[in-house]
Parts: sequence; C-alpha cells; structure tokens
Amino acid sequence: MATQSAWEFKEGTLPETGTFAPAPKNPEDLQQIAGRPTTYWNDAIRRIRRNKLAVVGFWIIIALFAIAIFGPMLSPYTYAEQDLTNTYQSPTLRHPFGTDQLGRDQMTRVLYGSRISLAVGVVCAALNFLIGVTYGGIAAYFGGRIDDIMMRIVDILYGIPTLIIVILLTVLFKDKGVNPLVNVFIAIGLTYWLPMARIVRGEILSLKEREFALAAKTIGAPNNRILFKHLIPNAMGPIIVTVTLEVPAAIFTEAFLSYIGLGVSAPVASWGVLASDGTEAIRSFPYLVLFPALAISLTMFAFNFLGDGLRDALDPRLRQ
Amino acid sequence: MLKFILQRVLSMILVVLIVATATFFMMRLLPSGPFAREKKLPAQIIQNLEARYHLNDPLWKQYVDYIGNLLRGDLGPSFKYTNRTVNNIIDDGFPVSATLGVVAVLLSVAIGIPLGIWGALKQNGWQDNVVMFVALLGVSVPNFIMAVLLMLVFGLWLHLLPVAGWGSIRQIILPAFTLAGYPIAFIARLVRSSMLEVLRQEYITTARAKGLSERLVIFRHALRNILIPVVTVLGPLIAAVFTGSFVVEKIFAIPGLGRYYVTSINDRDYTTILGVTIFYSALLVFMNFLVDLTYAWLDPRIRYVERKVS
Repeated sequence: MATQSAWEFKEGTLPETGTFAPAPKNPEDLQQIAGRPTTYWNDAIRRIRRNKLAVVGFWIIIALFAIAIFGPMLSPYTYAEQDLTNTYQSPTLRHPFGTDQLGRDQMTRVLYGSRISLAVGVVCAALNFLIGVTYGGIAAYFGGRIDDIMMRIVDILYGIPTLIIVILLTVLFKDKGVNPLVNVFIAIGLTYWLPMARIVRGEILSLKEREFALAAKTIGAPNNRILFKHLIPNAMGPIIVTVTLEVPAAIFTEAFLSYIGLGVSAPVASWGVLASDGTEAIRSFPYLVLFPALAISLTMFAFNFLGDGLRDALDPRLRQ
Repeated sequence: MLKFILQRVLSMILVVLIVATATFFMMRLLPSGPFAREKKLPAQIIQNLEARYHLNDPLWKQYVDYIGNLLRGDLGPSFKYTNRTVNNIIDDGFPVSATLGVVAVLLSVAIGIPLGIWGALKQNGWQDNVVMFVALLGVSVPNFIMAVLLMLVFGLWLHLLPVAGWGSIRQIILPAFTLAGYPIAFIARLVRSSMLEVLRQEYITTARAKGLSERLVIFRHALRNILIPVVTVLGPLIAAVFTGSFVVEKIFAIPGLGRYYVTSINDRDYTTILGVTIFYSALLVFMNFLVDLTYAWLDPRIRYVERKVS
C-alpha cells in the first residue's frame, strides 16, 4: 500500500475553501475558444484567397481555358482562311486584331493559338509530373547507391542549358517526321522534369524517416504502396507549386521553338509562329505582333501569379 | 580546396564528354544526311562529299576521330559553309555574344540588387508592390516578346535608339536590356526576400543598437549576406542569357554565336550544331565552376565544411 504523496492530487480534490477556488469549467465554452479546426488544404485555400494577384491569375486562367475551347467556334473565320484582297488590315470591326500577310483573321489565329499553348502547358506539365515525381520518389525512397546514380544523372543534365537539349531533341524528332506538336510535347516533357525530381527527392528523403512511413512498413505494406500512397501525397504541396510554375515554362518554350522555326508549322497558328510572322513585318505593321505578344505575356503572367501565390500558401518552409 | 577544385575539373570534363557523345550520336541518327537537298545530287558527288567529311568511315571510327580532334580543340569543318570550320564560326561569333552577354549580366546585377533592396526596405509599401510587379513582369514576358516590344517603343515610336545592328554603343542598349530582363527580375525577387530575412537577424539589431546610420547597416552589414544567394543563381542566369541570345541576336540582327547557332539549326548544318553545342556546354559548365569558386570564397562556412569533409 503506497502512501499518497503530497504532490499528487486528483481533479476535484483541491480544497474548496479559501480564495483560490478553480473557475468552473464549461465544456461548451472551451469549444468556442478553440475555433474551427483547419486542415492543411483549408488553410492553403484561405491563404490563397487573401493573395489578390493569385486570385486574379486563377480567374485569368479559367477565362483562357474558356476562350481556348469556345473562342475558335464562335469566330466567323477559320485560322487558315485566306483573303488575299485584304492583307495587312489594321484592326477594324470585321477584324478586331487586323489581318496578316495572307489576309487571315488575326483574332481567330490568336484564339486558335491559345489552344496550342494551353495544350502544350498542360500536357508537358503532366509529363513532367509523371516523370519527375516517379524519378525523384524512387531515388529518395531506395536511397544509397540507386540515389547516387540517379541524382548524378540529374546533375549532369542540369549542367547543360535545358533549351539546348530541347532544341536538339526537336531537331531530331522533326527530321524523323514526328508531328510537330507531339514533337514539342516529347522534347519538353523529356527535359523539364529535372527540378521536379530534385524537389520530390528532397521531400521524400525527410518524409520517409517519419513515423507514419515506419508504421506502414511495419504492417508490411509493399514499397510502391508506401511510396505512392503514403509519401508522395504528403509532398503534394511543393509538387503542385512546381507543376504550376512549369506550365508557363513549357508555354514559353513552345513559343520560343515556334519563333525560331522548330515548332508547329504553317498554316497552324501557335503564338510563337504569330509573333515570328509579326516580327517580320514589324516596321510597317507593328500591331500584327502586338496581339500575340500580349496573349503570350498575359498567359505567362497568370500562371506565374498563381504559382507564386500557391508557393506562399502551400510551401510551409517559405511561410513568414 | 585543392581537392575540391580537382574534383570539379574532372567532373566538368566528364560532363562535356557526355554532351559531346550524346550530341554526336544524335546528329548521326538524323535520317536526312547533311547533303539532302531539294534537288538530288548525283551519286558520285555525294560519294566525294562523304569521303571529304569522312562520313563513309565506320561510325565508331568517326566518333573516335571526332573526340580526338575535340581534345585538340578542333571542331571540324562546317557542312554548310564549305571553306569555313566550326572554329572559325565560333571565333567570329563568340566575341560579339560575349560582349553582349557581359553587358547584360552587369546590367542585371546593377539594377536587380538595388531594386530588391528598395523593395525590402519599403516592405508592403507601394514601392514594394512596384518592385514585385516589375519582377513578375520580367519573369513572365518571354525574351523575344521583350525584344519586339522594346524595339517597337524605343526604336520605331520614340526613335530614341537604333532598331537593329551591331557596332555602336547605342546599338547594344536594347538587346542588352532584353537579355537582362529576366535576370533583373529574378535577382530583384531573390534580393528582396533574402534582405527581409537578413534584416530580422540579431546582428542587424546590434548594428542599429550601436547607433550606426541606416546606410551603414544596409550597405556594410546586410549587403554582404545578400550577395551569396545572388552569386549562386548567377550560373543559371548566365545560361538564360546564352540561350536568350539565340533569338535576341536574330531579332536585332547581331552577328553573334547565338544567331549562327539558330541558322545552323535551320540549315541542318550538323557539324556546326554539334560543335557549338559542345562549346556552349563547356562554357556553361566552366561558368558554373567559377560561380562555385566565388561562392566558396564569399562564404567562409562553405570553405570550412569543405575542409572538414576532405
């Protein structure tokens, strides 16, 4: 039989007499003080809503997708329709953006170009996501020699300007007769996953040491289940930020390739092709380059705004 | 430190060799040979041409010869310009590109750093918003669009600067600002965020408590620590300036290496593509190496860790 020490007491055993009686506790009051519980994602959404530029970027992107899908359908012209009696028209009501060197309606071509740019952005970001997440995840999860070899390859590729690799791949596939748009997908998709691989690797390296990963391992979950169901979902924040910021990079690269004559070819109108055609005629018809230039810049703006906002909201290390 | 340098030099050589090998075989994989023309050449001429460029040797011998020549610094003849070698092309174009690139990098440091400091000092004020907006603008507007817009505004509408060409100082301004646009924005953002971080640290409070003027606190105490992240991003930014020069030189009609590179791509001048790619990679790898050395020299902590490891 242990003697009760003077230090121990149970709730309700405090002396009820004297000045220092405990305040009565009402469970409902406690609830009110605590506030609504919030999750990581709710918190992130709240943060992003407060970031005006990110919200603007988000709505611009929604509008761009709507324009890309419905815009060309509503236009009375097609992107390839030529009207050689009306070349190089200044903007008018019939042709709000004017016409180009073959009398094609510039607005229709810009609208059509948004399809190509957004398709490139989305497909390449998806490819980067698949390759980068798998590669970085595997390197980090298995660690050791596998990690060393895989990341050394990434280091080497990092040493070469990405754009040069993309250009070489584009030349290679173009001369092999691959469809130009598919070619752009392949070239960018195969190249731009490097930052993603590094970020995912860094995240997984720390996550795999955590208790929930150990718990999953203890109950005998197979490696691929631990990696793809437990670890990667927990690294989703930085992954989403990287994907969002890779979309404008891909859009830029496509426009760049088209601008130097390696992307899609006539009569298909990508923004890069339009900007390139416009530059040829810049001295006499400067508005021709203006609209595709504004379209590319606005799109890049919107994605960078959103990406920046997402980074502030989702990447806890950068929180202030 | 010596071991670090040696290790880096070895890995540099390795990277350049890997790039050379990969590009070599990629160029040989291309289905249309360098002499595929609209009008088919007589078989005898093709045979002579192939003999001249050793294309009828077995692939492994071509490769060994190429790497052997490469190690002696010989990049071989151009397929397109019959009397010029790739070395000639680099000798002609690189000084021009390098001049433009150096001016662009200097501009981006000289404008980006003060812009970032200004934004950080006026955090959340309108000045800060202006800096952040300019930074996002610089990151978002592609260089070829920037080139065209600058050309339109300053060359064609305001008639302040020449539209294109090379040779005078006035002709450098527009292309240099075009190339510097992205780095300025990048550096300004980076400096702003690291400045905000540094200003919260205790040694800054100490400096202020000593009664130092704000100018001294910022320029003597805070600035040094801000230079380190700026130096680390210089490598990728130099790469951005290189690749930017591909279009910028074309748009502004500057006879630099970037323009030759793009021309050689459109002409399918395989040896020139190959040679210039290797040259660019070697240059970039070397720049990254210099950046790393500067970094180790600037930050004593890195030297210390290095010594402990080796």
